[in-house]
Amino acid sequence: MNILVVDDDEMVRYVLTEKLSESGFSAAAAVDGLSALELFRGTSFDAVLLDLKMPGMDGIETLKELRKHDPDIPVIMVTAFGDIATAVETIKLGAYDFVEKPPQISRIVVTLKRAIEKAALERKVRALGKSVEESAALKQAYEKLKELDQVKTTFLSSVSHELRTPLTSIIGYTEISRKKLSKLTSRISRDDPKTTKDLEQVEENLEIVVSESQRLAGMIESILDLTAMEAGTAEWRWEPLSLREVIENATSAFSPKFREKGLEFVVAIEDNLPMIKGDRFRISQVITKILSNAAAFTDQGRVTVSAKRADNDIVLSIADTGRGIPASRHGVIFEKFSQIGDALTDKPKGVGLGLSKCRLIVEYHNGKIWVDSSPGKGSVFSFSLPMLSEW
Amino acid sequence: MNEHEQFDRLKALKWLEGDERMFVKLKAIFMKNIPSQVDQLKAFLDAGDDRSAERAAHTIMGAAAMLGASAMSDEAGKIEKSAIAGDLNTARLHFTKFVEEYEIVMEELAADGGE
Repeated sequence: MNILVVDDDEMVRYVLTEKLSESGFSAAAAVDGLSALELFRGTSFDAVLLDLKMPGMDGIETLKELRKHDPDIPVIMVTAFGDIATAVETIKLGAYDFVEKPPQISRIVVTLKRAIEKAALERKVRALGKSVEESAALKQAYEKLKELDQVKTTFLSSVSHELRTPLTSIIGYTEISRKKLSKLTSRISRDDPKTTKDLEQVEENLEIVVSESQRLAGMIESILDLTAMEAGTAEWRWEPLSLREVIENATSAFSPKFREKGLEFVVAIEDNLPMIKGDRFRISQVITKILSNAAAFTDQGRVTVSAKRADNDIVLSIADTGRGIPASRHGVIFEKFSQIGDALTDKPKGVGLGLSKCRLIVEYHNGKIWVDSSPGKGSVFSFSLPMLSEW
Repeated sequence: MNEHEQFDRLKALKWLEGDERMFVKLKAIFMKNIPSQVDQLKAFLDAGDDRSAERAAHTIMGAAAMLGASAMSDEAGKIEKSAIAGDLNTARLHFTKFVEEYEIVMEELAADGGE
């Protein structure tokens, strides 16, 4: 198996090419994105190990170019500690996985083998060109792909667990330092205005560290929550629910936010809605996520939450007069690592798990979620939940 | 790590899965490349080129981490972060501290004959 190693650091190139050769691969190396593309055009490779941060053409640009030449080529990103958010971004762009520097060769070998196996299976599936139900071989390949996807989910979950522990310490110790500093500042305030000012600046910086760390902790929690749901290990509290009560609770927190933005906020719930069976907290998460998106992407007009009966389901819709989403994105925004922000702005926020989590929650409730939207005309996110009598 | 050492041979050997030969080779590459990379970094900082300074600091940070030179790697990381923020004055201040660490690491690597 032929591997292309792309890294501007000679040490990384040396270690990876040597160790891969020892592990039975053949390896070629390139010092930057442009040389990588040149090599790639003239040689057939089975996978690429690609540095994220390089001078000139960086890892993300190189990844995009490589995939233009060969959409199936498995690319594994090699990243420095602290670049996890960007590394997750590369997975959305089609990278198979990422490993941190210094690169542990045994982990790289396992990841490479899985990536190459997955790419081969995908090619096989395409070559056979028939539906999964029609072919036993395809079915087997499909199961194998699902298994590989599961391995990836497990990996994501374990990485997130590992990140959570040090992050808790960072937040805790930074909070303690900030409080101590605050006391210190108040003690010397009258005597030394310059030092006081400097200390206040440090205090402000620590506040930023805490809030950004908490944001990161939120993303990690989100990943863990999603992976637990995918793995079937998440806890659910099923009970008969009045959807009116859940909606009113979830929406009350948003009224001030919409008022502040100058948006009209309407909640219209049909009278005498039948009960449903569900998890109160999880359904609130779905409503809150969709309302947060509406708040983020609606600058004027109104946001309307409505719930009504449709056959044996209750359909809850959240309509906004925001920027809207192109039809080409409707099918993918409920997928993992797809960000609604991509379609609307140049600067997506978060990891891109919110709506895929909504989809999972709704599916666990035997419901469906969908979007009607077009650019400039706003969006209507709807989901259906079966009535209690249908369970 | 010996408390006086600025690079952690055991840490480096751990991720190299105990490959002493590889460590010696990496040390040689490091000692060959790093002085010119440090010169380049200084030139970028002097020229006010934050983007190039960021990349150069990032490369040095990674190389130092690979040899277990944590303090040097951390200082390079601080330069990178300041350069990302466009704050080259702070980056230059970190560079002074970085050079101290760098010089100790180079001396110790030159004296390191394996264990």
